[in-house]
Amino acid sequence: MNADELKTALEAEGAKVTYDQKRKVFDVFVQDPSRIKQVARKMLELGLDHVVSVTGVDYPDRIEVIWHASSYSVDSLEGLVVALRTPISKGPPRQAYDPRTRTYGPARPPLPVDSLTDVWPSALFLEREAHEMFGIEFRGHPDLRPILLSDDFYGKWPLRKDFTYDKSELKVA
Amino acid sequence: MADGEGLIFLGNLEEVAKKSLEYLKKKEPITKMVSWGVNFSLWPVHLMTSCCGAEFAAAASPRFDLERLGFLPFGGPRQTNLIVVEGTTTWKMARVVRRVYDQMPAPKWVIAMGACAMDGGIFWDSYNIVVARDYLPVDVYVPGCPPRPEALARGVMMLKEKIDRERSNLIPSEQR
Repeated sequence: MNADELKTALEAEGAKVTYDQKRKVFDVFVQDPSRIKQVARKMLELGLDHVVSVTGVDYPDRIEVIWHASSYSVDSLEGLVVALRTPISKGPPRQAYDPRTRTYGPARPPLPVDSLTDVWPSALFLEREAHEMFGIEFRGHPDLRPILLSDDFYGKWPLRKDFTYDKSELKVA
Repeated sequence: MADGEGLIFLGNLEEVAKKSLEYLKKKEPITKMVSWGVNFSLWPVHLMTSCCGAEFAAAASPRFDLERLGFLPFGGPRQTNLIVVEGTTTWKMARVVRRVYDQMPAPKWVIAMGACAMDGGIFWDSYNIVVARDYLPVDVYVPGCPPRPEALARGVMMLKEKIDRERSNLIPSEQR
């Protein structure tokens, strides 16, 4: 199994794959979020056996969830990091900025997407981090408590573009 | 006339002893001895909040050896009188630092070490960073990113000078 065979196998699953050998970019884009688990299972089958990072990107119209998977067990895939991306809808647009409360309206609920922890157990803590930073609700994750931030920031999703906060609300003691 | 100064004590011996003790606490030979003792037993609590802790460890280890200044890192907060805020503190960590500070017995001092503890450093605009002066009464600031162990040694020397300068308040007067 090398990178080109990986590309053809994943394209058969219906994903949009771009591979640039020179820049070592391997990108798997899945348009339909409900198919993400199926593509991930295929990737696990092909030898990508662990997740190295889970993150999100906040675009104006969508949030993309990105799992970076890599391989320990297949020698020919050494050094390759495969980005598995899927867009999720942001729901209603944010409200106008309110200078009185210094926020963009009330906190918005987390956005649902399938958790890949049952495919790759190494995504457990990484998905918890992406959950508290971007407000992505990983359905099927066994334990979605906040992991790094203090409880003050839960529900505010600090790494989203519309994040604001009032420092005077926070107290040390 | 403060603390019975200039009075001739007669009669009630217990009262006289108490008053003269309060009087002597503010006076030269006693305060000088106490200041000397405190100066050479500045024990910082071993609480590593961030990356400046590596420089802190280097300062306490044989090459720079701050123990010759009486600077001996200690495990539990109950035996210490100095806390060094080593670099950046998040909101979560600041609450821990404050709790450790509250457990230390008085008199106690605070050194803010590194740019992050002073004004945030490279994280000055971050939502999750709180600077040391917002939650602790800081005595000495040590600039640098990170400060070298010599800089921390200089900070400790400055703190010793400060303790000596303010030695008349070193022994708390008895509450009546």
